[in-house]
Amino acid sequence: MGPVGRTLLPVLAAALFFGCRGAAAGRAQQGPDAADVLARMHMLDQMVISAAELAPDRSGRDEVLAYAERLQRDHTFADHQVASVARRLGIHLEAAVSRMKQAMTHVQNGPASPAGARKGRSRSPGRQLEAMARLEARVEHLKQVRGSAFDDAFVQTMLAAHEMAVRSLSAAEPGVEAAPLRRLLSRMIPILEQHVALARSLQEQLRS
Amino acid sequence: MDGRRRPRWVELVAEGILVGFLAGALMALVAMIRSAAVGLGFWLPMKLISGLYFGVDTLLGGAPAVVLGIGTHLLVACFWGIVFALVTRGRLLLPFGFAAGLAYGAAVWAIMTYLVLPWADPTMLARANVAMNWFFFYHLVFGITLGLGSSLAGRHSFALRQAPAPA
Repeated sequence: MGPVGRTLLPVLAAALFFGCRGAAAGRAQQGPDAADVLARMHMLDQMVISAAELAPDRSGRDEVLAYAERLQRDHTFADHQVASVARRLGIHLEAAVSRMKQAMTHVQNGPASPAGARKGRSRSPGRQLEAMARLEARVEHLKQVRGSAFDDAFVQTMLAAHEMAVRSLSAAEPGVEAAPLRRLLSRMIPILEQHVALARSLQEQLRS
Repeated sequence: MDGRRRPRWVELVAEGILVGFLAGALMALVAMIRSAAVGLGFWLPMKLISGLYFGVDTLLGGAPAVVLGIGTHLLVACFWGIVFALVTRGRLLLPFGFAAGLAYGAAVWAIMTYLVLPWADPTMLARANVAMNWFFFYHLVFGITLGLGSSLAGRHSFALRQAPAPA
């Protein structure tokens, strides 16, 4: 290697090193991925709808049935909006969902968000995936219970799911760059908050 | 002088109540049909109006929430009908009735959305925000019906006032 090569090589290596670090920092500063946010919303909608569909056969309380019906209607409507925004942004929703599910399986099988932690990103996406995986397990559990056990578990699960959704979507909202998605979030978060308030009020009724 | 007697305020109030009631009923029907069409439920708009009394729990309300919602909606519609009749004094010709109704509907929408609902019924406002263009459209339906109805009612009562007294 000649003297020019010996001088250039460290410069090139330094450029590569700092370039990569800059790109990584840029990724970390970027807003949340629209496809991820939409996939999360779609998965929440589907999970809530499938849980609410269980209620007519398993619950005997009018308030719980009314809550389940409200959830089913609202989340079906919301899911249409999610699909419409995904189409407008050119996002393949099912592909984004399957990526998310793969990540959930990875999180379930391994330590929390190893990739995210290595790259210096926030650990919260990993935690959110863990929480979603736990919620899916709780929805599965709903299929095995009836009567008051179902009512308690259903309301608790819906409360947890909606609280998590409000937290994660509210955190994502300010960083979202796509205007249709930001509009959708600003419209849907208050509806999710209503579902949280209803679940809390139902929880108190079930306790008394 | 066209020999036309100025309507008494009692007549205007009666006209406002009648036309406001009809316009409110049509507005409610349009809102409920659209709500049912998108899968949110036929009675949801009326339940949301009851959010004024029950807060967010109105979403799980049954018949009482619906009945109270219908009653409140029609009462408010009659109020806006009376205001419209008193402002226009029953003198609107048909094309002006349409235009005035359109503008009045938009004004009622603005007042309800920005001044009344934020403190009276946030539950409803959150839902209205999801489809604000439709919420605006319902108020235009109300205003146009009010304007056209007032023009027709004004013409009818004018004809009655012109008719010779029965022997």
